[in-house]
Order: sequence, then C-alpha cells, then structure tokens
Amino acid sequence: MRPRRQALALPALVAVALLPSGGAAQATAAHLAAHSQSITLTELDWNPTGPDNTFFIDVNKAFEQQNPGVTIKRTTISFNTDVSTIRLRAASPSAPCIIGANEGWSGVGVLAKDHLLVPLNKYAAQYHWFSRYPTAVLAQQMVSQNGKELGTGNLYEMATVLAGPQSVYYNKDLLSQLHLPVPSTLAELEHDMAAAKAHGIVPMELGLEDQVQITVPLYQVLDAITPAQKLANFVYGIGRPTVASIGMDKAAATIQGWAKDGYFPKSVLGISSSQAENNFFSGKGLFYPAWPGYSGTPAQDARTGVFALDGPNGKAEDQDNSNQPLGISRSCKYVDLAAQYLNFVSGPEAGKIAVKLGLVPQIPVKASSTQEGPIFRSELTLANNVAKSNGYVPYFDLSTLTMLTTLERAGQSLVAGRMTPQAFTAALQADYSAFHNS
Amino acid sequence: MRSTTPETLVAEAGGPLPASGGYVKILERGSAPRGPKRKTDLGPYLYVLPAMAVFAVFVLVPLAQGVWYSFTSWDGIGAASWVGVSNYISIWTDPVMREGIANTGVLVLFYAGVPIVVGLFTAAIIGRRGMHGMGFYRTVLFLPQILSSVVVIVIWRLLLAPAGPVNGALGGLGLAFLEQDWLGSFSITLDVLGLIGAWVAFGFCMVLFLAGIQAIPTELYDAAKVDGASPVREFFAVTLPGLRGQLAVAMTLSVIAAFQAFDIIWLVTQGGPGTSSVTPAINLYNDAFVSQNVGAAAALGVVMLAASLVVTLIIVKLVEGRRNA
Repeated sequence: MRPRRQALALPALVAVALLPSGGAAQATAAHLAAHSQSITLTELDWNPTGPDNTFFIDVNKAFEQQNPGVTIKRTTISFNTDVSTIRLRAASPSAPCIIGANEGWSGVGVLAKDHLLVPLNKYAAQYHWFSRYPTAVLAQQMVSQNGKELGTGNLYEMATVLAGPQSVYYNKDLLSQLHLPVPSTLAELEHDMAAAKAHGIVPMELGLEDQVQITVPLYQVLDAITPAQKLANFVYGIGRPTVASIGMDKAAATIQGWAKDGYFPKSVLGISSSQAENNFFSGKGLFYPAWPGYSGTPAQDARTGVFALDGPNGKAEDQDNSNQPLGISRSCKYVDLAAQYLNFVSGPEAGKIAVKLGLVPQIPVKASSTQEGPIFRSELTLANNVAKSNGYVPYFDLSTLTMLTTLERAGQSLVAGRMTPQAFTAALQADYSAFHNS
Repeated sequence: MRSTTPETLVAEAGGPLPASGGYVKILERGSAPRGPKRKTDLGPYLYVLPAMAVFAVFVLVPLAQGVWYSFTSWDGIGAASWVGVSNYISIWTDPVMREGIANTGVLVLFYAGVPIVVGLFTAAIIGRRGMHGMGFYRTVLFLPQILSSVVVIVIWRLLLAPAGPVNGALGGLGLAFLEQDWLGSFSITLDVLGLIGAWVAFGFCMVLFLAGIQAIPTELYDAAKVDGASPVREFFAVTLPGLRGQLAVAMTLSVIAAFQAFDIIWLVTQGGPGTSSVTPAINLYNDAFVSQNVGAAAALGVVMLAASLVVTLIIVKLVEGRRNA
C-alpha cells in the first residue's frame, strides 16, 4: 500500500499547486508530509463503547502514525442517535469529513438523495475496493444517480472491516446432552428445539421488551427459505416484489408457530434483549439468535458455538452489513485524504486490529487474537463461509425508512398471537407500498 | 377600576410626600392628562428587550416556523412543499395517532390524578403540626423527582422483570396468580408506565401541597379544632380549600407532563408492545426522526401545544372562577 500512496503524491502535489482555493480537497497524506502541513480530519461513528470503540482508537492511531501531519478528530455517538440525527449532521456546513451512516434508506439512501455525500466510484477503482469486498456487501452502500434506488449506481459509503452478520448462538453442553448435531437447516433447527422443549430446556432465548431482537430469528427463517438475490431485490426495490413473494408470510407463520409451541421463554415480551443474553450465557437456553461480538468467561466461551442457517440452495447465506460503513461528507475539504482513510479502515491492517480485539472482519484476515476463543473462532468461520459464497443479504428492514419500526411493532403482536401472519405481512406490505408510492 | 391620583397614593403611603423630590414628579407625571401628543416612555421596554429578544429567537420564531411547517411536506433538509391541512387530517385518520391520543387520556389519570390524590393525602398527614421527622419524609418522598429518567427506568426494569422482585414477592406471598409480564403486556403495560410516571411526579405534588399547607393560617385549624372538627373534616374544610392555588399549579404541570409523556415510555417500551403504549410525543419523534416527515411532526406538535394551552386555560378558569365566586 505504501508505494502506491507515494506514487500518488506527485499528481496530487501538482493538483494542489494549480488550485489555490479548494485545492486542499486533492491533498493526500503523502503530499501533506512532503510539505510539513498538518491537517485535522474529522470523523463521526457510532461506537462509543466496547471493543468497537477500541478498534477505532487503534485504527486512527495507526493511520496517524503512517501519515505524519494528519490528526483524526473523532466524535462517537450511539447508533440510535446516529440514525435519527445523521441527516442534520451531514447537512451542516461544519459536518464531519468522514461520517458513518447506516445502510438503507434511513442512512446512505437519504444522504445520497440529498447530495450530502461524495460519490466514491473514483476511489473504489483506485483502491480496488470491489475486489476486496463481496459485491453483496458493497451493493448496500450504493444509490442510483437519481436517489431513487438502492443497490445500484454510485458507491457512497465504504464498508469498514467490521462485519455484522446475524447468527444463532448455541449451548454446546445442552446440545450434547440432547445428543443433537449443530443444525444447519430450518428443519434441523426446529427438530432440535422440539427436543429441547421435550426435556424442559428453553429452546430459544429471546427478549422482545425492547423490540429489535425479533429481527434475528425472523431473518434467519427468511434466509433459510428465500434465495439471497430475491431478498436483495426486495430490499433494493428492484421490480417492487411483494412482501409475501419473498416468503415473509411463511417466515411469520414459523415464528408464530415457535411462540405457540413454547420455544421462546414464557415472558418473551417482558424480557429485554440484554436479559435474554444473560439468560443464554448463564446456561439457560439452547439457542440465542443475535449479532456477533459476544464473549464471556472462559467457561461460557467454551460451551458456546455459533451458526447461521443455510440458504435454500444449501449455500451459506446470512443477513449482514458492515458494522460501520463510512462516507465522505459534501463539506469535506480533504476528500482524497478521507478516501485514503476509508481505504485504510477497510483494509487488511484494520482487519488485523479487528481480529486482535476479537471483532469479526468482513474480509479474510490472517492474524491472531487476544480474544480468540471458541465463540470467536466459530464467528470467523461463519463470516468466511458467507463471504466465500457471496451470501451476504442486506437486512430486510433497510427496505424503507420505517420498516424496522413497523416490523418491530408488528413482530411483538405476531409473537403475542394478536396478529395473524397474514396481517403481519400486510402491515409490512403497507409500509413498503407507502414508501415506494410516495 | 379606581383612579390613581397623587392624593390617593399619598394617602396610601400614609403621609405627605416631600415638597420636592422624585416621587412628586413621578406622581404628577402619572396623573397628567393623556393625549395623542404624549411621548411614550421607552425605558421599561428597553429593560425587557433583551429577554424578549431571547424569547423571540428561541420560542416565537421556532413556534412560527413550526406552524408553517405543519402545513407542508418537509423531510427536514430539502425544500418544503405546501400540503394544506393534510398533516392535521392524518392525525385523526391514522390509527396509531388515535391510539396515542387515547393513551394520553389514560396517562392523565396516572400522571395527574394519582400524584395529586396521593400527594394531598401524604401532605395532609406529614404536614400536620407537631409531626416529627417531616423533613426526612419530605426528602425521601421527593427523591424520585430528582432522579434522572434513566435511573428511574433501571430501577423499575429490575423490579418489574419477569423474574424480578415484584413477581418474586407475589410468588412468595402465595399470590403467584397475580404475577405479570409488567412491561410486556398489551393490556397492562401502559398502566404500569403510568404508575412509574406517578411515582416520579408524586414527590413534586406533595412538596407543593406541603408548602401550601404551611401557608394556611394556623387560626383556621385552631378554629376547626374548637368547633370539634375531625382530621378528615379539617382536611376538607380547611386544607383543601387553602390549597386551591397549589392544586391548579400541580394539575396544570402534571396534565402537561402527561401530554408530553416520552422519556420513561421511550426508554422502556418505545411505545410497545405493538403500539399499546404509544403517546403523541413518541409519534412525533417517529414522524420527525424515523419517517423524516417533519411536516407531520410539526402538525402533531402544534396540536399538542394547542391542547396543552386549552387544558391550562380550563384549569385556571375553574380555579379562578371558584375563587371569584
């Protein structure tokens, strides 16, 4: 990487020399170093705590060390704050140069539509981002020129190396007590849960008091019964398929069936997702659907594994996106330098930092981890398998601005038996139609 | 309306004014005949100008902008387009909006009714003369009011968890049939959230009423005792009428708090399960920050403001009307 950056210094230098005002946009780190200039690059992400926060601290430090004169001034906020305020932040004349916006219409979609982000096609070609990442991941950062379609057109954000695949954790001790193999198909999962129920074990720990966790088992079922491309087309609005046509009614009926059969804890609507997590890692349930990044005591770690259900074609498919995509704001004065940062934070060096911290990378990385235990190894294997089969599926709820809220609310009613799978599907369809017809 | 003359003011002051001095000049100026050519004294306006400027910039202008946006379709960034009253119509046609309004009625009972009744009762007990440890009780009972919403929610989530102390205590007392999913039930979660809000607001009402009780002349209580009034009779005959002003304040603030209920509910259920605990404020937040339909959010905000004003006026009218009667 270094030689290429140095090779870029000369044209960049010429460009800066020719552009007395606005020329700073062309400045690369190499140019700055050559001129002993110092630049502060502002960055906004949604990782205020935990290893993800440490990842950004370490990555920024490494980038600064490699690029003398560059300082990264980072602001970090919660994910929910980011989603609700990102448009206002990006529209500000003093917007951070590098901004993290979620995939889908609530993030990159509206920012691109409002022309608040710089298209990154030039940099994607320059840094070979499309050969570095699975197409299914980068498509989530693309928006059409007219701002009306996702998954196509210009690349407006770059995925950082942090992956966020949904998956199902399982208790190895309980599974072996029941003499069951790790499931890879929906039928096997249901068989295992029935066996657990028969033995008085909670088949699947789940907590819906704070709503959001309904997405994980629902998407696992959806991934298992619907091909990845069909789901992606729905999310991107290609051909405007109906919610029922991607199998949502069947997935909803499956989830409601699990609730009726007692596969979830008795008080599933009164348990928060964090309580459900505690219940699982303290050894109570057989399965726990969640996002990656869990680690506990060595004993907890030793007895936990992770899997995702195969797609209908037997391929490893999983709903996933970058855990922190980043774009460059329209008001950024140092676009080249910001692109250089995006290249760094999505590259192998950042991948090594991620693995060292026990975070699952989007790309295969050869590195050892200080956090490496059975859970992390399982997560790495899962991520690699999904990446190899290009089986990443955009999250269903990225399909409209309000789909997540609609799904979460209707999901609670579905699990409580107050809404039929057909009514659930109709509620999601109404949301989808309203958005695309507006 | 009485006329203000130097003579009446002097008489009120209790004696003659100095032969020369500022008072006389002011009074003379005050009694001068008013005419079209009289110069307006700008001095007082200059004094309030800074405050009014701040008020205008941070309240009146945003208010006017909000009203304007309520008649538009605006995503918060781009250009707004005029849509007339359609945002207002959708408030009444959208079932989730209607549910939020209905839920506000329930919350008024919990945010206003419960704290006022319990606050009155508690203030009447610990406000009685000779009550020992009043300061301690007042402090302890006021404590929820000064806790941040997040702390309140952490406490109550722990208490009301399915395997938490409340269900545990019920089970321990042989009342397991009363155990509930307190925060995950379509039928009772809104009431439970209302009770949490009442727990927070109760301390404020109680302190307000205590202050009011202490301002009631002791002679009235003495007279009631001489007349043989029981404590209950004393409460209804002396305390309650004496607290009319405090009741108006407590009622106004707590009803407005019910109209604006957001933080506690958002932090626990985000309006769920389903939409069973949505409130207008949660719908407003969703409109503005999830749907990015700022025009609709502004319309809801205007309706909430108007409703708060109307309720305040009604409460003030009721209290003032009775006072003047």
